[in-house]
Amino acid sequence: MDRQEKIRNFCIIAHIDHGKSTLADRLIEKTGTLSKREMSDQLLDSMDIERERGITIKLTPTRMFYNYEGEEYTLNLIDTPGHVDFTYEVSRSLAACEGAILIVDASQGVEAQTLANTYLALDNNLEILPVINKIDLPSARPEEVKEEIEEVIGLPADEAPLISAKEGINIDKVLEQIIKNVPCPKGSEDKPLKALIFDSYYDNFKGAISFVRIFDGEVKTGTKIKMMETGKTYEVTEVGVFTPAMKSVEKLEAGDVGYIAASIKNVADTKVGDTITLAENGALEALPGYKSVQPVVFCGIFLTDGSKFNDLKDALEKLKLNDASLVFTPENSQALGFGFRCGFLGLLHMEIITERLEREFNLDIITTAPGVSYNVYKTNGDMLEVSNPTNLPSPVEIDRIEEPMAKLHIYTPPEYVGAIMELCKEKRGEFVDMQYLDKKRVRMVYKMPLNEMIYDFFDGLKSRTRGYASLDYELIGFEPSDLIRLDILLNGEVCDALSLIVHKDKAYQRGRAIVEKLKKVIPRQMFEVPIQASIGNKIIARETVSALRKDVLAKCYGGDITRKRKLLEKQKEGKKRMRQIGSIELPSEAFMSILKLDDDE
Amino acid sequence: MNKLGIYVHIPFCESKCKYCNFISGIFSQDIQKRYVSALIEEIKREKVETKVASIFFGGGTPSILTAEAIGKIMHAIKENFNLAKNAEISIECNPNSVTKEKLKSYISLGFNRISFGVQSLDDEVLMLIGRVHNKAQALQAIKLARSVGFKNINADLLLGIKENKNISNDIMELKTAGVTHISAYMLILEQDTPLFNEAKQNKIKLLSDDESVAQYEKYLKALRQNGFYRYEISNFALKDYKCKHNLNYWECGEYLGFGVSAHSYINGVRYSNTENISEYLKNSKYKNYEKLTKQEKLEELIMLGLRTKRGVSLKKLEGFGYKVLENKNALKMISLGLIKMNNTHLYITSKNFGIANQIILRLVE
Repeated sequence: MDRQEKIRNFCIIAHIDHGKSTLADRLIEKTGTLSKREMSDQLLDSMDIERERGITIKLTPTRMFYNYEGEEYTLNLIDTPGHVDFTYEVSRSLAACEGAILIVDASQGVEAQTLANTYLALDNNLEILPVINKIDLPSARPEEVKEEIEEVIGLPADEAPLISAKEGINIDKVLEQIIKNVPCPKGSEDKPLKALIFDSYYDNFKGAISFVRIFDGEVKTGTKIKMMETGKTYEVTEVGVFTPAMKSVEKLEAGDVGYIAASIKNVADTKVGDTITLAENGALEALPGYKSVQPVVFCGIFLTDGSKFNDLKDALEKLKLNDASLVFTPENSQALGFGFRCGFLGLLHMEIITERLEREFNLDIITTAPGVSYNVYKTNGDMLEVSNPTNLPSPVEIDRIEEPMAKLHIYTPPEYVGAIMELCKEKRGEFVDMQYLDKKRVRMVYKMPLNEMIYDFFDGLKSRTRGYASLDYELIGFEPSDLIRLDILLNGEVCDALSLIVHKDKAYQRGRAIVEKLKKVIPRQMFEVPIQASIGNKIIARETVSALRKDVLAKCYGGDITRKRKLLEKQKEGKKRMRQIGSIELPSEAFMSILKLDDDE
Repeated sequence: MNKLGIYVHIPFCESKCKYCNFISGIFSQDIQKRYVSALIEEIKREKVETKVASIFFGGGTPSILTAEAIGKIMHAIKENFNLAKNAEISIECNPNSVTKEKLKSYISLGFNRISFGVQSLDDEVLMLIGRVHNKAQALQAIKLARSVGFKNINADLLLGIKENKNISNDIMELKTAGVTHISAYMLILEQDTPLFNEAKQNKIKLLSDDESVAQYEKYLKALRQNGFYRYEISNFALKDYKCKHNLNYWECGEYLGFGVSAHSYINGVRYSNTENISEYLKNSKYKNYEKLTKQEKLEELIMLGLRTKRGVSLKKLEGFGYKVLENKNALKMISLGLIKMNNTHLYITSKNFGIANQIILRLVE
């Protein structure tokens, strides 16, 4: 039997919470790759944040051996991130496989993401094996879910194993299906090396390490390789497999999944989706599907303590070592001092990065409201990409502004259709399509400006549908829009950190809402503070924080000056936590809450 | 012109008021006796040659002690210190704990100023804050004090609790009864006092900041109309009735404090007694002390001086190298009209006394 005939490369796709990590754990356990003792629950999710949120961000592959009808098979499981922000990474992981297990929750059925990822898998010509999970729950309705899979996705689901990953029920049926139905790799060992990078990570000793699927040829220590996208060449220092711990092997051959280390300084040189070939007489054509990843959500990141700017810079650089999709450029805000404008793949990505900055690097950070990057066409023919509202040219210089658009797929029980339509309308959504998938499920398709979507659309969707609706989106390019800059003035001075680019029709409402919220959070100052929202020179909303009139007319009892002293010291401490925004003093918390202004207030 | 003030702390009360977080409480007769002895011991150990310009018996409620006990303490002070001829000698009293006999004996002991914790002339307010007297008793006590010979009578008032429609009338009644000095304090809700908890649980509704300020302004007007001159943030006096003892604090003068939780300030060093009464009874000798740094002295000069109408002396500030015109915050506040300067002093404009702490904070930053 040919070596490749006994290899199966597969991944698991699922909606959040449908049990992907748990199934992966059970497979590892069942194949004896790790004993129960060696496993900490949900082994593949390595970062703390992932484990806390129960979502997988970073992929960790695992090699398993399984004996089936007297033959030993090598099963390579490539885990995939479960969030829409990481669609491209998912697609490259899928491209590294021949098959995918599609987990569907036995009570919740097909969700937006299930579908999105299934289409991605189909695009990559993967054999898809539906598996119905959580059958141990009382609310399980496996037969209906099978029907749903057939109707909605169009996949035969008759043979879908009914499992409980949590309880370990029918795990061997899943393994059997993998061996029987996932095609084996069909590469050629004799052709020049073609290895697909589906992930990479930075190791302090070995440099950037590529996680690869070998399609053709072979690679071992000493092989001179070339990155086809960047053209850079390296000498391989180590190749290996995932047990799931990284273990060096002599060589990797066509069909294998493993890693390549080659003293590469930067993860930006091990681009996900790139093809590794030989430096000399390499493959002529790269594997298809490489895309340079572009951030879609931007925000400013600043520190409450401006003197630690260099710490922030170091922290971002360290995160960047392992996350080529994170981009950042220095930015100077009048209100917040020095910081960075950072670009992310999506809101979740942004949250993860900011949380890691706080948690792993102990930084007290302030983030400005997330926004998108606009294409601004100037009257002189230039085009600017503007992600920081402050950089928007004056209206007379602007010919038109185009904003990124997203196509949204929303899955919901029918009773929430009305609420969702209303929400989408508020968010400048344009109805595209609606389809009853079955009695209990409707798919709604909307076109919406990305900027509207990132402003708490998902939260709004969840709250208006009591969490029953799910969302998936794709970017569909730019469209001209009537956008303007809304400035906020505190005591007559523009606070740049609060400027926004908004649609003209929403400017008034938004400006009103912001000044009202500011009035609530800005503590009284020693003088009256007007809060204004303006478009250009036109004030569209105003509130006033009246001057502080009473502080404490404290009694100074018999010689008890220490009591007054203590009060003074306490006030001094309090003042240290104040941020000076122009002539206004704000406690950091108030400042944060200003920046967390959201759309529907 | 060295002056010395003496403060004697009597930490006993008939009942604890709901807003009070001072070192005071209800104690047995026995403890009161032992306390007086400890106090006398402490006084006898202190030797300072400076002439004593003022004595102040505060609390708590000094009038809770017997006249005999007050006499013993007074005697100890007179034996140990040189009293200035015109020394101001004050005692704090609760309107309901004075009798004609007590008041007479105070006079014979040399007390020439008496301070009543009137707090309010609204019986509802008095009940709300847990005072044990009422309006009639307060006015009665004041009249009694005057009848036995007190010419200098202070009334403490507490503002910011409840709306008061009779402010002008109240002030007039107090003045007619014999009050020559008024200390009007804004209520501070101190953490963990019963009043604090009641307000937190919405069991009572106190005036909002804005309402308190509005009320305060009405008091200011009524006081002015009745001839009470505001010489310090919270203190108002008829002509020639300023409280020397308190002025001494605000001018950073020296003072000795006796009794539990009392502080002394001598020669740039601040001493403090224990705040624990049983500890004090065991050993009234022990004092904590800290030598104030130059910066601390400067801060106190500003913090205390700015409480007075006159303000803080520019000369004294310069003595610390503090130049108002080179201080960014000071200049800003001058431009905002919060503080002003004349030839000799820097002072807070009367309209802005309410935010004195914020102003002081920025001057010492």
